[in-house]
Amino acid sequence: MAIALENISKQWPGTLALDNVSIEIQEGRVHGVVGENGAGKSTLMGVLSGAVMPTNGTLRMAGQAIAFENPAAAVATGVSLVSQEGNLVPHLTAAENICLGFEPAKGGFFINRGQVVRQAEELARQWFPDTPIQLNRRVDELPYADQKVVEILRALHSRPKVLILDEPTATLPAKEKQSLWNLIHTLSKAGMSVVLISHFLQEVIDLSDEITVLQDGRKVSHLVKSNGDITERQLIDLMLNRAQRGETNYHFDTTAMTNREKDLGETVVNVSGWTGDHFSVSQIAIRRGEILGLIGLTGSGHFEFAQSLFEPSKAASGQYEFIGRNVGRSSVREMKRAGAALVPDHRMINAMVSDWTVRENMSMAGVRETSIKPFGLIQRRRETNEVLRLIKRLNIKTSSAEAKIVELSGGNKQKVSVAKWLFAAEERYSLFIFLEPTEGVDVGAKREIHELIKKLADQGAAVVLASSDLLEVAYVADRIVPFRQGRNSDEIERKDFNEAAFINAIAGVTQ
Amino acid sequence: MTITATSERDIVVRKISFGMLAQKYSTLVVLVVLFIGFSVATDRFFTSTNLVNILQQISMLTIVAVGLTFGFAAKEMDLSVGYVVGLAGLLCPLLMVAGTPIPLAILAALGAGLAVGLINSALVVGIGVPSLIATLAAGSILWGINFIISGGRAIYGGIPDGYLVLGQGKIGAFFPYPALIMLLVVGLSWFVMERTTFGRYLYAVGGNARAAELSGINVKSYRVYGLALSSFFAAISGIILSARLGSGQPNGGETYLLDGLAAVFIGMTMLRPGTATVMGTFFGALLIGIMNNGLNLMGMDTYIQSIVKGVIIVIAVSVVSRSTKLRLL
Repeated sequence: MAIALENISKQWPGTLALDNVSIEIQEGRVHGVVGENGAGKSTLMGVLSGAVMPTNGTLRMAGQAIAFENPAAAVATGVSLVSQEGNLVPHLTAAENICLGFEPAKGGFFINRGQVVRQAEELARQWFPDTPIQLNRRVDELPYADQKVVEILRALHSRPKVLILDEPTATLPAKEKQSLWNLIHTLSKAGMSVVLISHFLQEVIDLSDEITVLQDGRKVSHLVKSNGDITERQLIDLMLNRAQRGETNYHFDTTAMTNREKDLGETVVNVSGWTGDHFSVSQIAIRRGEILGLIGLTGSGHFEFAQSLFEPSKAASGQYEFIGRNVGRSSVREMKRAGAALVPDHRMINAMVSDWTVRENMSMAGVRETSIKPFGLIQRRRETNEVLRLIKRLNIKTSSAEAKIVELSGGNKQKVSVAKWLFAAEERYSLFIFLEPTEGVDVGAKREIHELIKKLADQGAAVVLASSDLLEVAYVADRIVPFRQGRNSDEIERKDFNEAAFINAIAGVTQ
Repeated sequence: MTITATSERDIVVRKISFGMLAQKYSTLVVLVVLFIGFSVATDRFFTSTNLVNILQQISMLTIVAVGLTFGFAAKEMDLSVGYVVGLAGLLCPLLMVAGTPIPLAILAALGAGLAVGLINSALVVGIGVPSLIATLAAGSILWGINFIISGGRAIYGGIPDGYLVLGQGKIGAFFPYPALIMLLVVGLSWFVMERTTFGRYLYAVGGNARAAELSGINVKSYRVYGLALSSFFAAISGIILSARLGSGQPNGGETYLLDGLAAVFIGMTMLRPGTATVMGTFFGALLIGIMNNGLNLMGMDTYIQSIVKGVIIVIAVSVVSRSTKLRLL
């Protein structure tokens, strides 16, 4: 065994990123790691490559417990990481990048340039015999695929025992993908262990000897190919299916939902031929009073689509009618005026000013309503009263309206993020878009947020809910549009809700 | 722990830890210590004439620094303000010497300041040059322009008395006009920044541009406003400077950039640590003014003052950087 992670846990402030995960990396084998965003893959690779210190647990190499102080220590011990974003020095040549940190020296001080190029050439010939790379050119002038090769060669320069590849093919064209796959085979044949992380499940299945599936920081399965074929459907099931793990707070009892039958109002959103980065939607319409759930794997375009409904001019092109008006080229401000509201994901990045108070954050979008126009003189008492009303109504746990937003828990921050669109604007917005509304939210607040979303629909708003939590979408939504590889597939009505149907739709399995 | 507070005041009392208290008021303590120290060290310091004098001395600096505060609020730094002071301080005398009426000359100088601000923001917001670099380059250009329009000489002779009053006049033969203008500028700016949606949005853009954008705030406009006001205030200061000196000096405003930045940084250590506020900046300028004045009265050389000032800037920025995520670039 090359390296083993035993009972690794990692506690970040507010979230348990890894919960008692154990993985064994075998010599000369390819080990795939899959899971949705936030499942803990990056943290796990961080632990393996010395970038993250685990809170608990042990790393073992040849039976010996070891601890990596930093990534350099991991490299010295034989673990190299090729990260997703890349970490090349743009103005150095490809050869200089490959030897960075291990430069052969002349007289102990001067870099031996000839030797640098020779070493790089040798590595390139050894591992990528059929991919000619211009090693003497600045690396930022090389095509992206070649940059990826340079990065891998750099990782191989230290002759690692374990090579971690994080999303290596994410942006590679087909031909280069093939040569990377060949390399992975060659490496494992040469006795090296490869850890492969990828969103392309079929690729992971084809290349890996064994696959570990993570979900919410836990290892949910470890599959070995020699024990039987692994299918994409099976992996998606393991990645997304929470019911299986006993999380049955939400039930799929569709008969209990019949009272959700309601009179739907006018059409709020109507898109057709709506195309943007990562998605292309044929036709979707949403009416007042209904909650449309969007599901799919990470990267399948449903989040991007939901977001594009709020920033059409920036994110997409095509036909987009909002309450009968063409808004295909509208800005965020125009959409807000027309009656659209977005509760974004990653709330501290997209929704909050972190050194502001609860009051200031909550009134960010609507403060003009509590001010005397035309000079925008803020009426502090009206502002505070409105904030206090919403704190009470949404049951936000905060010491006061003047508490700093960062002092609140995830769930309460999220409620503030929703309250922003209710501030002095009750029933003003016709469309609410929620992205991962319960990301990093505890169970109690989760439920309250779900009820709030339903209430908004009951009050006559159209709601779009994009989430990677299938149970959540099933519980809240009236109908669901599954996304696969950027395209929307057939809608699933509430009466047909069941987890198997969702997973089949996401995996593209037809029954 | 979630205590339901009955009023806002409860929280202020509950939340304050010793560290925060020390941080928030350390600058104020320094100010008070300096004040008492100088009062003891020299008997000419604590007199009504000298105190009014300090207000007069800091007036131009404060106005520049308040302008910088608007830029800082939107996370834009304007390094051209010193030369805008110079430009406005030359334009007014030049125009008046050529026979332009006072109000028109003043309007022209203010307009020039605003124009520089708009050019800066075209570079920063339109093209995407970081404000630090764009305004540094703009400053270099302005320095050259200032020497060209003045021919490298001071402009004087023929400046009407009605103009000089702005810099040299006193209300009731006691309170100088520049100090009055400063107090008006500070009061009005404080009001705009703390009590209007304009100020709120400016801080939102500086605090988290993406969140501001997704809340429907016009981020680009507010970045333009921040930079434009920065230049505009520098122009006001330049007008007062030339009225005070009775002449236009080609390198008149150069010291205001560094001192102005120092005032803003010192201000960022107090009130809302890490955020530039109008009141914080005013106290920062006051601290610099008291220091300069006191050291002067004690007979300290100007180069010693410069060293002391540098040290204080370093300390202020260290305090802010340690406790907050100060990001200027």
